[in-house]
Amino acid sequence: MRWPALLLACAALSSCNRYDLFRISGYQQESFSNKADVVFVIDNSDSMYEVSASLALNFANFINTIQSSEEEIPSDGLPDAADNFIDYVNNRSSYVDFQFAITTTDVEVSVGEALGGLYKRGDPNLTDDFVNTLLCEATCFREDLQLPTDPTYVCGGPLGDEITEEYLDCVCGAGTWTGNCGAAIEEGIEAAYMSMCSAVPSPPVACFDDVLQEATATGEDDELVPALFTDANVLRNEGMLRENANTIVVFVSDEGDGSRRLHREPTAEEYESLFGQFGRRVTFASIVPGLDADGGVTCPGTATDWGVERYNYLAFRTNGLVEDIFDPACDPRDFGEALEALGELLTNLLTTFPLASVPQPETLIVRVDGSDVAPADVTGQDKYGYDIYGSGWSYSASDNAVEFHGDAIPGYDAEVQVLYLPLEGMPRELPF
Amino acid sequence: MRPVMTALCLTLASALVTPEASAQETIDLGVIKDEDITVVQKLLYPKEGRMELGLHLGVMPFDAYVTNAHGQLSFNQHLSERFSLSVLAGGGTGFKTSVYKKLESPAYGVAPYAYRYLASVLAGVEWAPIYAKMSFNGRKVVHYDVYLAGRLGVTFEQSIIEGGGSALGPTLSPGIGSRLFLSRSTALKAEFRDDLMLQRRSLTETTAFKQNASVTVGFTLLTGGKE
Repeated sequence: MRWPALLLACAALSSCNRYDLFRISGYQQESFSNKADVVFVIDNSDSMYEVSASLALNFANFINTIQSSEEEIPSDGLPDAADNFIDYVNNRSSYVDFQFAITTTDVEVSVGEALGGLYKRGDPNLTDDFVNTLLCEATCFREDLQLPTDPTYVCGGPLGDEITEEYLDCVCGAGTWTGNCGAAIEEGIEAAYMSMCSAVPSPPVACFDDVLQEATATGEDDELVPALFTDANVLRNEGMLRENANTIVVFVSDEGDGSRRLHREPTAEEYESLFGQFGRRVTFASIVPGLDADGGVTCPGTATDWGVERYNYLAFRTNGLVEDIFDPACDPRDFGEALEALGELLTNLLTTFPLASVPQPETLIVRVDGSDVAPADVTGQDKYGYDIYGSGWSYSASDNAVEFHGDAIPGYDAEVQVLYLPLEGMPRELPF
Repeated sequence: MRPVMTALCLTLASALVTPEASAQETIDLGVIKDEDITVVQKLLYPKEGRMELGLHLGVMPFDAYVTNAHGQLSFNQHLSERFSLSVLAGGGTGFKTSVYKKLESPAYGVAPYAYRYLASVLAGVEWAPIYAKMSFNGRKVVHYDVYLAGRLGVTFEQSIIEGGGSALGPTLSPGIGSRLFLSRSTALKAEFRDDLMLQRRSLTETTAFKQNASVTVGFTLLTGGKE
């Protein structure tokens, strides 16, 4: 009996200490070079021309506001540099490195193509180019529509307080701006998805999938809709999704969403997962008809409750923005306020930090700038059944990510560190 | 003639019957062999009945992820030349090794849930079966002893991962060491010991076995006892 005991003791003495290995995920909240790729998905049905005109009229102010500050800043010498830094700290929205793209909800025709290319910060004709594309290619002016006229308008002159036939004739070409009307079914979410598929060199397989549409009435059969996206569409929107940029999809529509991969449900989990395949931070902004407390559309029209709710769902799930496209009198609203809210969204801080491996939730340690952050308490549930949290962090199993809430959201330049024990051990062999 | 002959005959006869040597008998005391020697002659540095206080510095260099440096105070009450009661109280801290730093770099993104030594208190016995003299460089004879130690106590450690908790673990500490006597009241003491402990790790909610193998070197003062 002595020898086995002795051998055991020797083995214990000579063995190495064994430690569990935690994964570390380190992040930094957006810093000085804050990039935002904004994709406007415009409803180009015939009911939208007033809304598009209002958007065009307000867009110039929006661009001027977010772009002007930096241009006015002097940069000569140390005092200017110090002033610039103070200005940067106080007014970060002036430093967002944005670019815009426009596509339409008529996905059968556009397949998510960025109309007119990309509109980047610093382009000398950014505002004009964007507005012209919006009006000439993404707005439905019926041929029988009577627009205001301004016989005194001279081509090249600034856009006035209203969209006139003369202006459109000048920027789009005489008569070419009429009749660019999209399909009756608006597929805003599918269009956004297609636009992203067209922006990456290796699109997810689902981009190429045929879609099985469920029958909408009894007696009908399900229909297999051929895929819109083909190899010819790959990288058609090259440059639209920049590395380390935040993608913001803005739906502008007076209707609900009728995307083909969904069947009248008010949520869009399937698209959530499809957008997740791009591995990017995507935030949604919905400028769509308002809903009342019961989930019904407030202004009369053809918008379906579930279709509008679907847009709002994506905005809600990504901490995005929901704005009513109509004013309280159910007229097209002044887009100044909506675009101002959108400007704030461009500078939104990261709240979700994805993890590389699936953690054992009880082992998660979350640290911001070296200080531990406490887990958030669940304070209730929202209308979609998701938990509402107080300040702190929570782990989202579906996204495999740590989410920050309330006052715990890391500030600019904050170092975020997440440590955890992987559920199934280390994902690879260590070299030592 | 007759008396002469008689004398010669008697002399011859006595010569024949007398033992040959008449020197005193020798006593065989034998030869002193190595195994017959059990004590060191002139034991200059007796320990029996004396107290020994020491200050030590040490390092725990054998862990792949943490290197600990520590200091400790020692107390020994020598019950005999061979046995003493021993108490150790120490404290220190640990530092990430280059391996740990490499692991937690963005390339690997891994943090071992290792623990650093902070403090310990141990008590037990030392058994010093060896007391020896050694010629040092042919000039000086140094006296030293070699002892085995067995101690029990507790060790307090802290996770290297911040917020990973701390652990107070029961500890069994075998060791081997030596005193090199500098004078009747001072000695250098070197020891190798292995603190074997159980610790409860809060993040993983597991009980783990851990060992801190350390090397210490210190200076001790011997007081009291017979001069």
